[in-house]
This record gives sequence, structure tokens and C-alpha cells, in this order.
Amino acid sequence: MSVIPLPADVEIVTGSTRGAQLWRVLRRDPLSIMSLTIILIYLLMSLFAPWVAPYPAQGAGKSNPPTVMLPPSPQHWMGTDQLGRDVFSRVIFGGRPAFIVPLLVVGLAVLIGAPLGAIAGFKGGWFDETIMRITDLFLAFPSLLLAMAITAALGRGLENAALALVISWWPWYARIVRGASVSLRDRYFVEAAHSMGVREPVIVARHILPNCLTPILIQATIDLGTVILAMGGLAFLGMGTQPPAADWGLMISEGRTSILNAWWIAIFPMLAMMILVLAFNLLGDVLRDFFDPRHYR
Amino acid sequence: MTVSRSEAPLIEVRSLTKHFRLPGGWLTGKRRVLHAVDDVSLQVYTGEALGIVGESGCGKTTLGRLVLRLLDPTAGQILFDGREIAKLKKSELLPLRRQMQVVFQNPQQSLSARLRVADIVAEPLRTVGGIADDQSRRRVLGLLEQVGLGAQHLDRYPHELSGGQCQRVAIARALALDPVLLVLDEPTSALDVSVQAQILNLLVDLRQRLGLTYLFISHDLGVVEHVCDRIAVMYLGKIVESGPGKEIFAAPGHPYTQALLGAIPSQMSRRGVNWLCCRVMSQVRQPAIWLSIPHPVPVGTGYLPD
Repeated sequence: MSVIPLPADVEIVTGSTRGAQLWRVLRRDPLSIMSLTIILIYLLMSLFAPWVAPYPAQGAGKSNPPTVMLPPSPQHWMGTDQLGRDVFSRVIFGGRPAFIVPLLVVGLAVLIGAPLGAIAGFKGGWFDETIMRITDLFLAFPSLLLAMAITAALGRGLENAALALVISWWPWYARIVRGASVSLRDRYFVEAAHSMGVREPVIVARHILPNCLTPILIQATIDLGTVILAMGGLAFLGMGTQPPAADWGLMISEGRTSILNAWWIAIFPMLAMMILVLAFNLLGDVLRDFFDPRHYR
Repeated sequence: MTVSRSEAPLIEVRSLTKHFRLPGGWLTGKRRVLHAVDDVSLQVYTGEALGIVGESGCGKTTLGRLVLRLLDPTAGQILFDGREIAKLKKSELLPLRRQMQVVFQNPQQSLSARLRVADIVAEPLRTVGGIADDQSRRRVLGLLEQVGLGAQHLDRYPHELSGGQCQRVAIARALALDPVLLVLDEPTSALDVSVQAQILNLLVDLRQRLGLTYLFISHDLGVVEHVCDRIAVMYLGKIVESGPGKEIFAAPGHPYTQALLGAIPSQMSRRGVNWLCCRVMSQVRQPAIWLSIPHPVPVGTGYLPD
């Protein structure tokens, strides 16, 4: 075949990408911008907790007897707890297990569930049946209950709680991606790749998975809120982060006994969790609306 | 159009059959089987364009997929360049795949929405052809120019292109590996009439320039006549008539072919036959059209108990 030679200085014009479109939609919607900002602030505060927190030592767990159960004041914006620790610093430090860890949990669940689901939907047959029956097994139990059972079996602690959440969350992604994969399997572009002689693993990686990205992204965003709550629940029950480390769920549990005379100990971590979960839910809604085919231009 | 016939056909199909088992019937024990392609034999010679014509559901698309071995045949032989490929395993087919490519009916759906045009056309080059990224970019540009697109389309996504442009991208992708055979499965039926003509002319032009062989599947006799040297008419999974396009148009032998010809009065006027003549002919062919109708249960392809 003859190929027409080209001038060397060919200019390449970039069209508007999906990313640019998404940014335009987000910019127009104040709620989404707000939720994105909130998430970003939480992320930065958690990552740089030792530098951001006013009392980093107390945030990490060191008690300070002279300042026991002080109400909110300019020195202690959110008051102090039963051991005299600054609640604001604790809330910031608590974001590490309560927010960063759920991010990792959802990420890992996607990494395990999405490829399995994509292959199951693409291959069909016994592989599909096996994977789907296994996910059925997991989905038959309420996620939080399953996570609690697994943590109880593995032993308390942040790592085990996170692992338990990954184990109980990946089947959701396998399910979602499998459905998308089945609908993509017979599409013309997949058949075209077949006829080109592209190998099946490459087809799954290049064609099936990227086209499943939309449902994964939406589910992950909405799920993050749920996983944060589940993580908080495990910590509240004493199965996650162990004292003296800070975790919102654990702080709520600790502050619960003094809620009538020192409301600030439990209320502020609660608020922190609520606002973050709300932000993720709002962002998830915006993303779902954006990727809905009816919203295509 | 001249037909340059070499000694052996590029594609030879011998009594090819494809049955699909239909769902249901497990209670009564009567499994219903769809005879999509039923004992079809045909030859396509190098450099030739063979048109497969028939109504929707007659098995012509299945035939195309069988030739490409995207489906496994139930029975029969497929010879590609003298080699039997009907029973080859998937891994054994991979080296042959680059010699035969396909262009589908729906151009938007045949391109992955997540990839840019540059990546779509480069995919066969990189994944199958083993060409490095920096080289493939120039090659992709050459391919795009060949189908009437340019550098400004490289970084576009399929949803930013029109249907005709998408189909051009699909053709460029099909040409990337220097195939000898193109299976064109209704490449223009999803396009506007004006765009159809452009794509058809492009296909005619490409065949002459690159010496390609076409298996052109369509329900539109006018389109097939424009592109193809020979025509095979398919009806209920069988080829009922085949021969050079001009002969079939001049003297359709099978009543179904007559019905098909009668069903395109607009085509008549396009070919310069006046309105009155067109009316008379459609009346003359009325019984032929009637012939194709009385199949109340088997819509399209025949449902037969196995």
C-alpha cells in the first residue's frame, strides 16, 4: 500500500477532551465545586496533619492533664477531651485512618473487582459463573456485618479493619464492571479488535476496562462516603484504630460517655465525618449526571 | 470495471453452514434451530468485489463473520488463499487476521469512545504490527489522508466526528495492516444519502489504488451495483442467484431477485428510467414481491426444527 508522504511540520490541533468538558460542567455547578474544595481541604489537612494541627503531639495521642474537658475557646477551637487533648488536632489526625484509609480501601477494591468483573463478562462461561457465584456469596451478607466478622477473625487494628473492608467491598465492583463488560463484549469496536488479531487480554485492557470507567468512577465516589462511615463504625466498635491514636469513629465512641457535660468531644468528629460524606455524595451525583448519556452535548 | 482473475480464488467457501440454537424449547424437547447460513458456496477472486445482497435477516452478515472467522461455522470449508481456515484455533488465526479486515455498519459504535482517532488507527499498527509509537504517528497521518481526513482529526474523539468521518476512520483502521481482503458489512446503510455516495466513491477508489478484494454486504442493490463486479443474492440463508452485476440487473433469474429489483423504484429513476416506466415495471413485478412475503412464522431466516 502506498502512503502519501507528508510535510514534516504537520500541526496537530487538539480537540476538546472529556476532561476539559468535565471541568466546564464542574465549574458551572457551585455544589460540585464546594464538595471538591471540601474534599481537597480534608485531603491536605490529613496528609500534612503534623504541620497543620496546632497541638501535633496531642493529636497523635499524648495526654495533657492541665487542660481536661475545656469547652471551645480561641486556644482550643473545638475544646479538649477527657485526657486534655486538643479536639481540633485530634480531628485533623483522625482524618488519616478515617479518610485516607477508605480512599485506599476503595482503590484496592476497584483494582481487585474491576479486572475480575471485566474478564468474567468478556469470557463468560465457567469463569463468569465462578466469579459471580463468589460475589453472590459475599453480597449475601451486609457489608458492614461481613467486615466486622472478618475483623473479629483477623484481630482488631486499623490494617485488619481496612483489609476486611476491601474483602467485603470488591464484589460490588466485580458486579458492576461485569454488567458493563457484557454489554461491551458484542459491540462493533470489540469485534473490530478481534478481527484485527488483537489478543484477548489486550482487548480487555484497552477496550473493555476503559469503557467501564464511568460506572466505576460514579460507584467509587458514592461508595467512598459509605466506606468512611463503615470505617467509622468499625472504629466506634473498637475494631479499627486503637487508642491513643485518633480516629473519628473512635473519638465519637470516647466522647459518647460525656456527651451531656462535654458535647464538643463527640460532636466535632461527627460533624467532620458528616460533611465529608456529604461532599462525596454530592460529587457522586454530579459525576453521575455528567456521564449520563442524556447529558451529552 | 475490469475483473482481473488469477488462477485460484482468494476466498473460497464450500457448502458453509451456520446454525444457531434458539433459546427455549427445553420443556417440550423441541429445540429450535436457526439456519442462518445454509450450504453456501462461493468464490471471491483477488482484486474482485463480490456483493452479497439480501433482506435483513437473510444471513448475509453471518456469512461475512464466518469468512472472517469471528464465528465458528457449523459445517463446511473456508479457504483463504488456498488454506483451509474453517477449523483453525483462535491462536492459529492471529497471523492471518491482518490480511482480512472488516468495516461495520454503525460507524460510531465501531470506534471505542475512550480513544482518540490517532490511537484508534494506530491500534492495529502497535498491537499487531509491532510498529513503534513515533513511527506509527506518521503512518496514521498517511492512512487518514488516504481516506480523506487530515491532521486536524488526529486528536478528536469519535463523538466529535460525524458519521461519515467515523466511517472513514474505521476504513483507515482497516487499511492499517495492508490487508488483501476487506469485508464491508453494510458500510453505508447508517449514513445519509449524500455521505453514502462519498464513502462508496472512496471505497471504489481505494480498491483501484490498493488492489483490494471486497466482500461487500448490503441490502441495497443500487449500492452494490455501484461498487461490485459480481453479485450474489442471498435469501433465507442460501445463495439463490449469482453472477456479474450487469447480467443480474438485466435479467434477474430468481423470483426473489426480481422482487428485490422491483422494490427499488427510486433506484430506477436514479438510473435514468422515467417515472412511467418505473410504475409499469413495479406493476409487472407485483407477483414477484408477493412471492417473498408468504413466510408468516419464519421472519427472515428459516426456523426449522432440528
